Amino acid sequence: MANSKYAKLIATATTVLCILLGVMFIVCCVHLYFTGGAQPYSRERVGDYLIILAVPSFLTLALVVIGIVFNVVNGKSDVEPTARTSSELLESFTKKFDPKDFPEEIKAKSDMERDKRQVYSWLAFDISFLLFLLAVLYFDFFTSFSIDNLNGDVVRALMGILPLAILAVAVHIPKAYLIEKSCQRELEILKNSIKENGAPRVNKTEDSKNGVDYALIGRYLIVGAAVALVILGIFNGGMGDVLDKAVKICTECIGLG
Amino acid sequence: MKNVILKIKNWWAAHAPTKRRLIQLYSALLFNSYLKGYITGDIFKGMSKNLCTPGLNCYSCPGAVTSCPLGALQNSFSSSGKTAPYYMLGIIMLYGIIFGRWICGWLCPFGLIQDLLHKIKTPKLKKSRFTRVLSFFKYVLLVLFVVVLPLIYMLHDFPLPAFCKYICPAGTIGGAIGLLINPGNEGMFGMLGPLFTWKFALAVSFVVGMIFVYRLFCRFICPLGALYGFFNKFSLFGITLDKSKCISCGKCISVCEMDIHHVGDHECISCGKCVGVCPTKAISYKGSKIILPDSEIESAKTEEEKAAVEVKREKRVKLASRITALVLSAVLLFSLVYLNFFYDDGTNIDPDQGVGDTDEDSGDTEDDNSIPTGSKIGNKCPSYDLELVNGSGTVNIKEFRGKIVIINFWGVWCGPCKQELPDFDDVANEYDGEVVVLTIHTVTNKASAPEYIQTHFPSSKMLFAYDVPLTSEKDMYFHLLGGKSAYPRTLVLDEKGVIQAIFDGKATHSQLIDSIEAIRSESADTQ
Repeated sequence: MANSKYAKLIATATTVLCILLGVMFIVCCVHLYFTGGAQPYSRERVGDYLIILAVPSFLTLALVVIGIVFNVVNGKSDVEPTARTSSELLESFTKKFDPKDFPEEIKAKSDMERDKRQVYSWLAFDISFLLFLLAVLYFDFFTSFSIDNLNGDVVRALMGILPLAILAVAVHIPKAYLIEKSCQRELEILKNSIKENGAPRVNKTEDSKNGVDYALIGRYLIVGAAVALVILGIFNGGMGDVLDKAVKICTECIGLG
Repeated sequence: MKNVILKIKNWWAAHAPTKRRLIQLYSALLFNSYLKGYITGDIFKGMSKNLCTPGLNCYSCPGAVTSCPLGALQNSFSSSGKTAPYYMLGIIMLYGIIFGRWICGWLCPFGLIQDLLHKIKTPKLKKSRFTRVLSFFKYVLLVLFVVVLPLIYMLHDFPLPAFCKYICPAGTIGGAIGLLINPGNEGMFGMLGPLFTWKFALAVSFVVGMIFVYRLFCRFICPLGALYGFFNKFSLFGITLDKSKCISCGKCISVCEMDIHHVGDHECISCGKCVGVCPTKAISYKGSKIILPDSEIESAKTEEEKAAVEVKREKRVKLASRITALVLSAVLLFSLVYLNFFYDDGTNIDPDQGVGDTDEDSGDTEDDNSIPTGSKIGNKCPSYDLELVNGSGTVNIKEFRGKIVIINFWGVWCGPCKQELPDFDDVANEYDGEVVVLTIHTVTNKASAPEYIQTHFPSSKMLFAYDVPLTSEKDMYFHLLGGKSAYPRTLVLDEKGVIQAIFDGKATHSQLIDSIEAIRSESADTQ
C-alpha cells in the first residue's frame, strides 16, 4: 500500500518535472531566438541558457532514475491491457454465432444496426473525400510555390491544407464512436436473444483460404520488382545520388537554418 | 547477504534485456558505429552510405554509416526530373517485403529511443478510438511532405526534403545536437535561426510526448512506418495468426500497445507481446518454416513424434540463433574497430597548415607576409588555380588583390545554396568593380552547373568556378578553407586577401553588405 503510494508520488513528480522541463526548453529556445537579433544563437548565449536549465534537468534525471530503481526494487509492473472495444467483441461473437441463424425479428434488428454502421462509414468516407477535394482545390487555386519565399509559401499552403487533412482524419472519430455504440446495441440484442431463446447453431470455423498462395505470389512479384528497380537505379545513377547527398551535411534537414 | 543475492537474481530474471531489446541496441550501434564522428564533429563519408538503414537514422548524424531511407526517398523525388527514383523505390519495396514493420519493432534506432523514453515511470495514455483514427495522420504526412512537396519543388529545380526539413525530430536530435556539441563546430551556431527554433521546439515536444504515449512518432507521424505498413501482410518477417487455433478471445489486441485491428495488420510492429499471451499459441513469428519444413511437421502423427519434432525444431532454432549471433557480433566488432581506428576518410589537409602558393609574387609587403595562411578569420586565405565553369580558363584569388573578394562554395543539389545565389548576384552588381564574387561549385553534380548558371544567371557579374581536388577527391579547396561537409559556405576577404568573415550556411544580403562595409570602413581608417 505504502509502496503504491510512493510509486504514485514518484510518477506524479516525474510527470510534472518532465512536462516542466520540456516547456522550459521550448521557452528558452524561443526566447533566445526572439531576443538574439541578427545572430540569436551563439555558443555563449546558448551556454547561459543551458546553465539555467541544468538544475531542473538534473532533478528530472534523478527522479527518473529513482523511479526506475524504485520499480526495480518493488517488482515489475505489467502494462494493463486495454479493454476490448464493442466492435472487437461483436466480431468474435459473430464468429461463434452467425446473426443469420437467429430468429427473424432479431436478424432484422441486427441487419438494421449493420446498415447503420455502413451509413456511418460511407458518410465519413464521403466527408473525408470532400475535404480531400477541397484541399486539392485550395492547392490548385490558392497556393504558389517559389524559391524566393520558400518557407512562407510552404507554410501558407500547409495552413490551408493541414486543417482540411486533419478534419478529414478527425471526421472518423465520431464515426468510430457511433459505430461503437451500434456494435454495443447489436451485441446486446444478440445476447438477449440467446438468453431468451437459447443459442443458435455454432458456426463452423472457416477453412483456410487459398490466401497463402496469393500472398506468396504477391511476395515473389514484389521482390522481383524491387530487385529490378534497385538494379535499374544503380545503372541510372540513383545510387550515386544517394551517396552524394548522404556525404554532405543537409543543414536544413537537421534544422540548421 | 543471501537475500540480497536472491533479490538481484530475481531482478535480473525479471529485467534481463529481451532478444528484441538486444537486437535494437545492436542495430542502433551498427548503423551509428562511426563514433569518431562525434569527436571530429564531421559526418562519415564512406561508401556504405550508398546503402540505407532500414529504419529512421538521419545521415547527417555524426555517427551514421548508412543513409536514411526517408531522406534519400525525398531527395530522389526532388531530383526525379533528372534521375528517376528507381533505386530508392526499389530499396523501400525490398525492405518492406522482407521485413515490413518488423523494422519498426526490431531495427529502427529511433524506435529504440521511443521504447526507452516510454519506460520512464509516468501515467501513460492508452490507445483508444481516438488514437486509432489519429494513426491515419501519418499517411497524410507521407503524401504531403514526402511525395507532394518534393515533387512540386522538383518542377522548380529545387531540392526540398520537406519532411526532414520541417518535421523530422531524428535529424534535430541526432544530427544538429550531435554536431553542435562539438567544440570545432562553433561556426554552425551562426546557421541557427527560425527553422532551428521550430524544429527544436517540435523535437522537444515529441520527446516529452514519447514519455507519455507509446511510440508516439511511430503511430502518428512516421511516414516510413506508413510505407512499410503497406507490406506488412506479405512480408517475410513479422507476426502471423493461425486462424484454425484462434478462439477470438481478443487478448492479443488488448495487450498490444499499437493501434492494431488484428494481429499482423498495417499497425503491427511485430514486438511479440501478443505471442506470449495467446492461450492457444495461435500467434507466432513468420519464418518458422525456414527452421523446419512443413513435411517434417505434418509427418508427425503420434504425441511422441510431435514432441520429437518440437525438440528438433528447438535445437535448430538454438543453433541458428547462435550462428547468427556470432556472425552479427563479428560484423559489429569489425565495424567499430575498422571505422574508428583504421578507416582513412581521405582528408589529409589541415586547414591551418595550408597548401597552395605562398603569395611570393603577389607583391605583398613583408608585414602582409607575416600573416599566417589558414582558414580562420584573420588568416591569409590560401589561393589556388580554379577552372572556370564557362571553360574560358582559370581564376585565382591572387588576381584580385586590392579588391574585396567573396568566396562562396555551393552546389546545384543544395537548396539553401540556390536560395542565396541571387543575393550574391545583387551584391556583385551593387559593388561592381570593388567587390569580386567568386562562386565555387562542388565536384558533385558539376555537369549540371553550366546549365543552371546559364538559365538563372546568364549575364551575372559573378565568377563561376569548379572546386578542385588538392591531394585527393576528399581534400578539396573547400576543405582547405576550413569547410567540413556543410554547404553553403562563404568567406569574405579584404583587399589583402585576409579572411574577415565566415558564414557557415546561408548568408543573407544584409550580412554580406555589413561585412563589405566593415572592411571598407577599416580600410578607410587605415588610410
